[in-house]
Amino acid sequence: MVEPILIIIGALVVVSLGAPFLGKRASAYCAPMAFTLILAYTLYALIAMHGLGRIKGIAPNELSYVVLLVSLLAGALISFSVNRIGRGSGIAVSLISSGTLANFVLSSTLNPFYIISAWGLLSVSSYGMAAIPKDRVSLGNSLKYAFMGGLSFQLLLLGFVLYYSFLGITPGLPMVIGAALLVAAVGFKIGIVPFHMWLPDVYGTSDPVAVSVLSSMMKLGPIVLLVNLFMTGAELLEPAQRNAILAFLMILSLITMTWGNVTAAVQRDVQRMLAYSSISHVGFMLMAITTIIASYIYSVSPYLAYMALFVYLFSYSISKAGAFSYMKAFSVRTYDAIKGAGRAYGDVSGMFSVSLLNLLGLPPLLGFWAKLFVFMAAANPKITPFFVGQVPWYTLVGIINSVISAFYYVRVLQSLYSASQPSASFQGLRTTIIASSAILILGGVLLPLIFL
Amino acid sequence: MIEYVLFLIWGLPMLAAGLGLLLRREAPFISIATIAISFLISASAPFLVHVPYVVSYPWFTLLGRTVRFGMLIDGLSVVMGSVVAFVSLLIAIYSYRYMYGDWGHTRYWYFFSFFVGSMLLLVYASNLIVLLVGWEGTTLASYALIGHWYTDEDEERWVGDKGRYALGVPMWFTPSQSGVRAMVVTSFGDIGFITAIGMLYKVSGTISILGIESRISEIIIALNRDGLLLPFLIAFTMGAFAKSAQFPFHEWLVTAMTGPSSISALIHAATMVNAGVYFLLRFAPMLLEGASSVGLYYTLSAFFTYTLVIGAITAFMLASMAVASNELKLILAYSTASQIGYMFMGIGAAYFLATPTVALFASLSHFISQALFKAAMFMAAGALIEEFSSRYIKDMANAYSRMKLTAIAFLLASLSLAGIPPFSGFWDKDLILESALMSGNLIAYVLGAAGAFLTAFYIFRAFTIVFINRGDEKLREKEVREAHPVMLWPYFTLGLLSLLFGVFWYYPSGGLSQMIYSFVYTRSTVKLPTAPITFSPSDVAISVTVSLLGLLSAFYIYRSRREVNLRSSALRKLRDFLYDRWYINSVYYRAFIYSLNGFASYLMKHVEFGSFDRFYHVIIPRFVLGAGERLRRFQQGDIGKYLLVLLAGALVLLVIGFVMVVLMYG
Repeated sequence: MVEPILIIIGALVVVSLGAPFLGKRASAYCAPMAFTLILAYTLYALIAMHGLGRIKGIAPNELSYVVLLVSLLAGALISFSVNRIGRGSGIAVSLISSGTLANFVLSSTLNPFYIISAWGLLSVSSYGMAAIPKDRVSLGNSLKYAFMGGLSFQLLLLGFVLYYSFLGITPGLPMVIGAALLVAAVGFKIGIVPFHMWLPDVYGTSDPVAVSVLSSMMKLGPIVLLVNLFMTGAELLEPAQRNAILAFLMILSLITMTWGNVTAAVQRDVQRMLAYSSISHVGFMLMAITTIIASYIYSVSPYLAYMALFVYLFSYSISKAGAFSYMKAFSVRTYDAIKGAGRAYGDVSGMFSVSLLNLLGLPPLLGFWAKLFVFMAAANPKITPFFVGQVPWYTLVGIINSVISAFYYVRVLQSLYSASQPSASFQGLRTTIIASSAILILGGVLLPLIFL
Repeated sequence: MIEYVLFLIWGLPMLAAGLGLLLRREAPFISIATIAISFLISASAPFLVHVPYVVSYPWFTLLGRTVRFGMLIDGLSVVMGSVVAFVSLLIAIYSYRYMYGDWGHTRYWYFFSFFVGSMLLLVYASNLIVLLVGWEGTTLASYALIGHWYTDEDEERWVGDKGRYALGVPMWFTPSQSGVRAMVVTSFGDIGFITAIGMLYKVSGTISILGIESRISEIIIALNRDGLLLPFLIAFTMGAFAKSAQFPFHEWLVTAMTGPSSISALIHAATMVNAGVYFLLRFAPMLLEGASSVGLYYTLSAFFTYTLVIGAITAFMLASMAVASNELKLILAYSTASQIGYMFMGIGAAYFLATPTVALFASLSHFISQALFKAAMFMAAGALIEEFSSRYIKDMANAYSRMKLTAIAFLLASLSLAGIPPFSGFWDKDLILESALMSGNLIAYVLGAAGAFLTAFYIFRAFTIVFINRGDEKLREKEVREAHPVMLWPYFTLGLLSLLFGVFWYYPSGGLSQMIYSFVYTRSTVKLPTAPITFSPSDVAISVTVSLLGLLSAFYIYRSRREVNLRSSALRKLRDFLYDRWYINSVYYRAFIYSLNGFASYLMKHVEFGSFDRFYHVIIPRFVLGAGERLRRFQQGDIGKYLLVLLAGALVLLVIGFVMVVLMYG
């Protein structure tokens, strides 16, 4: 009896190795099928065998299941439109596959060696993805990305040394420094302010299909790694250390969501706006993570916070995959350039609007439940730092940010549905956009039926 | 097995409503057929089951208790339900022709059937929740049907004179406006009703009608202990008062005349407006029974006096308005509210009598009479308005020579309404007035008797002007024909029935009245003493005199005159006062609607736009955009700068960690 986890890792490796040899045509058919098959097998294994099993050092938990499923789903969706990247589509599929593998490993282990190697794999996949179109902008972005990534890798290494060496041994400072460095390293990877500076350039100007991979998949692993590191270490931490970590995350989440929102609001380019909105969404996810850790510290059931993170990861990834793919249809991506697209390309634009509204968090879409769960979990009166008197200030700041985000999402809708004739080509993108939004609608409708 | 058949009484019309939407053209036939079956089942219910009978099954759980969905079949509900179904049947037949080719045909039949279903559900409800469902269903249907011609295009469908103001308030009402008025006013009464259901549940833990009955003394004692008995009763019956258009809620019924005439006949004369009467007839016996066992005579007497006086005021006030009115349907509408006022009087007076069931029965019987004659009159009015293409009586004359059968039907109904023996209207009105006199409340009696005079006067004013008066040349030449048979026969039947019902109503040895009376009050779960119905000759003499006086004076005045020229300005003012409905509408608008509007615009201007809107749409965007422009300057693609920010961020985290730890360990 082979553990399902081995089969999945093996399959991903096979896809990674095989995809570059496939032609443009073949990859367009094979890649979605391959990812869907792996997804189906994973679901089957989860349901029929109650888990994926474990191998030495890699022990998947619920969070890593979510990471794997979301990565596979986003991979399957995006691989419908990789052809639009051009000649490197086979390589793109390969990178998506290896990124998925890296995410999965990163989210299901605490062994530093696995983490470091998965981190490397994830980084390489990301840099490669950014560079695939091989034009000047992409290569420049990739280089910038790689340079900053190298630096954050060093922070990670240093952080590991300090965090692991002093975890549970010495009370006090060294471990906290390690934690801070880890936060900085992961923060770089997922775009936490102030470690985000590379992100708007890469997300805002690279090829949108490549960005849809970067923004939707390549963050999942590191986010879950953050949770795993702190939750596993939590019982070994001193109260001061715990509070320090809580303070880091709380402050960072607030800065991140606000910074992302405020800068997104002033963009004139829709793709750059989406890039900044990614930052802001990471802020919300960080809020869920903070709430998970706070729940542990204040002995509250973390169930809702976990649910919030799951749903948020799912909703965010799928809608970013669709939204960035939509941008690929345009050569110029300013608000003015997409004017009238809602009338000229009714079906895809309608679904794109659904993605945006999902990011905004409008019921009955999945994004609504995601935000609702995050806010509900954070508004637990037992978590005292989130409250000033009776006022759940932490939640309130989140809600205000969510309201601000309406400003720039709705502006896109306004552009889409004003009278004009844009030029765009949705060849090969339709499936990704429509399927992703359909999943969001379906998820939003089904979720309350399943969980409420 | 038989239980399921009983559910068809209201289930069939509901089904017909749905089917009518699918088979648009066949909707009237489905409606008529199902209502006919409903009537047959309803009338034969005493033979199907042993009355009183309850059939119910669990519906949902409320606060840990199961609410059952069911029907209560006793004397009262059978009589009420059968009358409702019968009159609805005739009106449905009438509507087939009356609404033929109307642009809202499908909608009309949907709400018609839905209304009949809801009304029957209300009548046969076994608990207050089911009753409330039917109750609100009738409100909804009433709203939709009053506003049936919601485009407000045809001014003949309006109520009131366009351009007329009273105290600065417009006195003309369009269908869409009237629908909302009806909904708002009746729902306002429901606030009290629903609150009272909650109180009742809190006190007794039951909402089933039989449950309330079995614990009535317990409920009365518990409420009385907190001094809540009178407020409770007023709240509990507030919905009934509003639905039955009793003062001060009567305004909605007047303007409800914007609906089709068939609807005025069905909802605003024969069935829905009597729901309040039914409600009181249902619960008054329990209160009477409870009162005698508990011995709280005075608290309860306040409530019954209140019912008696409100009924008397409505009976008199609305009758006085009808005297000055110029619109045929409006006269009938005033008359409806006024007649229901008599029914309330009967219920109020019952408490003070030795055998209260006689007075209660008088109210029930008056409901039956009024269902017969008022439905007939409204349907005839519909035909007249169509033929003369005007809703004003001043535009109708000499109709007798051209619409003989309509005239006969209208005359029969008018005689019954005026209270001329041996018509049914005479017997019950006289019985009610006698009860009011015996209750010792002289004010109520005088108001009621004055109302009876006015009733005879206004209806024969309308009858004489429309049918007898020869009118001028132009009116005589108007081409007017007898109504189509499908329209004519329903109201002719009803006119005839109000005569027959009266003829067989009373014999000293028995008669129809004694039959219905003993059926209702022996086949009920509340056992109250019954006594033979008797009349005192002196009271009968007074009522007959008063009615005849009104009738003859109206006939004498209007036989050859179109209208009375009032010379004194005081009398003209009085006529305006009555014509503008005692200025009650204007007072309501000034006191509630305009002041609320003013308050709302104040909030809109200063709070909504001044604070919230300004905050969200001016201050926040300005702040966000300003901040965004500043932060954006960091992003210039200079990798060295990026690195600096990254390191600065990491440093800040280190400082925070350092401070936290130092704070913790000193």
